[in-house]
Amino acid sequence: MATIETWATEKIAEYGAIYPMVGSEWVWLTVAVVFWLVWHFKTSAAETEEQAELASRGHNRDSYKQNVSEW
Amino acid sequence: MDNELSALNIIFTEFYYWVTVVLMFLIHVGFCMYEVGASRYKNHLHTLMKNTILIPLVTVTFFFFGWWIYWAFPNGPWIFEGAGLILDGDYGANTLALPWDPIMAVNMQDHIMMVFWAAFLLFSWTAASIVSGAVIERIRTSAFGILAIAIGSVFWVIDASWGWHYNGWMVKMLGYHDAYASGVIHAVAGGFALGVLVVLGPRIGKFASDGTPNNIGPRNPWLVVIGLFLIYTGFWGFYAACNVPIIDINGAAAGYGLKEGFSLYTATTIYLTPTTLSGITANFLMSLAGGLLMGYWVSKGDPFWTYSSGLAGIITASAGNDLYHPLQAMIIGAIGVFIMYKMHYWVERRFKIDDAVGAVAVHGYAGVVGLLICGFMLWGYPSSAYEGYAAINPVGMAIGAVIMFGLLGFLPGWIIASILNAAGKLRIPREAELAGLDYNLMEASKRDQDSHAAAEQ
Repeated sequence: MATIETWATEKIAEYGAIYPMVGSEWVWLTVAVVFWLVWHFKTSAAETEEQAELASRGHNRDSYKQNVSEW
Repeated sequence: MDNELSALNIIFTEFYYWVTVVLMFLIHVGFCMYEVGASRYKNHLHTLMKNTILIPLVTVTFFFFGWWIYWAFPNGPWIFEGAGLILDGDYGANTLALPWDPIMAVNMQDHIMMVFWAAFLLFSWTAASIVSGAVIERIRTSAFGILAIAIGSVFWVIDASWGWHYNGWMVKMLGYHDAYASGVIHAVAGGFALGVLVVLGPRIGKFASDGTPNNIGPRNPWLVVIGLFLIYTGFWGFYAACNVPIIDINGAAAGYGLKEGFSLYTATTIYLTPTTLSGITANFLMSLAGGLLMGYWVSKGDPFWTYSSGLAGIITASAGNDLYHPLQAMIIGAIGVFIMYKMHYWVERRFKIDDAVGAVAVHGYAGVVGLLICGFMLWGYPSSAYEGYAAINPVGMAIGAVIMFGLLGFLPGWIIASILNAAGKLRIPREAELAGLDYNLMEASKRDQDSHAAAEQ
């Protein structure tokens, strides 16, 4: 895992990337992009479902007042 | 980094941008408070989450492709010298801004890339957040997320590449000058918001049956006030972030081509033209003051518009605030506010546009006015120290304003919103809007209270 095995060397001045698993960036990017895209689909579907349910209950503009909590 | 002075300069620059990012974070805190304060009680939490979620969405997409766009498109594909994309090159070329490049991380050979990326990212959040305020209380959060990515990680970045990059084609060919982003952030975001609003439509109740607009004022003015003060505060960081804090203007980085051995270390704008933090500080405050004074006057002391006008004053003067005299900045700020205020109500009445927080006016119209005024005020100034660049001029700035507000702002906003609307994904159902977007959350809170009371008995 470790990209760097010692800090106690003059070669530290030549070090470039020091994060773990240098060279695996494409794998991480792929996972991140998939996560991002799936997030959109899942949250959009959940929003559609929630609002359809809310719309079906037939509330009017003042219905929310019965849900105003005192504390 | 091989000697103390060099290391000090590099670490200072790294720290400088780091501080600007922290300051600019306050802009977003301010936008969240402002939007929530402007929304009705039954929509508070939904409004908050809509604005909040743009933070991660724009952040990851700006990492995926936004930063690359900035460095890839200064030539404006098919526009300048037929060069198209810059596909490779030295430091700053787009290959280094790709998300898999080792320099886009902790890297001992670079101390600036990601903190500079972060400064631009905070600009991106701002662009998306400007749109967010305009569309509250009736847009789907998922639709807004897509629109936020479009403006925050694509379209404003393209305009920055064209008109804010020191090598951008608009700077070279048009003499476009926009030191603190009247156009490249504010006009483009305002135009984008207007494009979305045209498709989205007004909130229920905004217009009476005869078309008369109703004033839906802020429900929590204190949140709005604190929010706008925080935006002012964050704007300081924004101004600082638009500068290069210290650079030898005749050195390799700037390449002014002056006589060999001549050095002058100074702060510069993003175009690498000289300015001073001292001067821009005065201009920031004077344009804020001019905007506030005019806003109070023209709105007859309306608190919402007075505070927003302070912001609009700064935005109007920002294009040339690297060079204006403070008194010029003040008057320009006042002029911008007068025009944007009148424009807001004219557009509202004429086109039935419901801009809930005046975002199109404060950012869009004020930004455009700022660009137009800058073209006259700075007419003849070099837009760059490099050879062959057009001087600043009114025509170039007017074309720039059309590109920012219209081509890269309004048009993509309108197109993307139209696509989302056609798919039935843009606006919440009418019944949900009437009930209030927080209905289910409020119901749960009430249920909790009731069950607590029942347990007590």
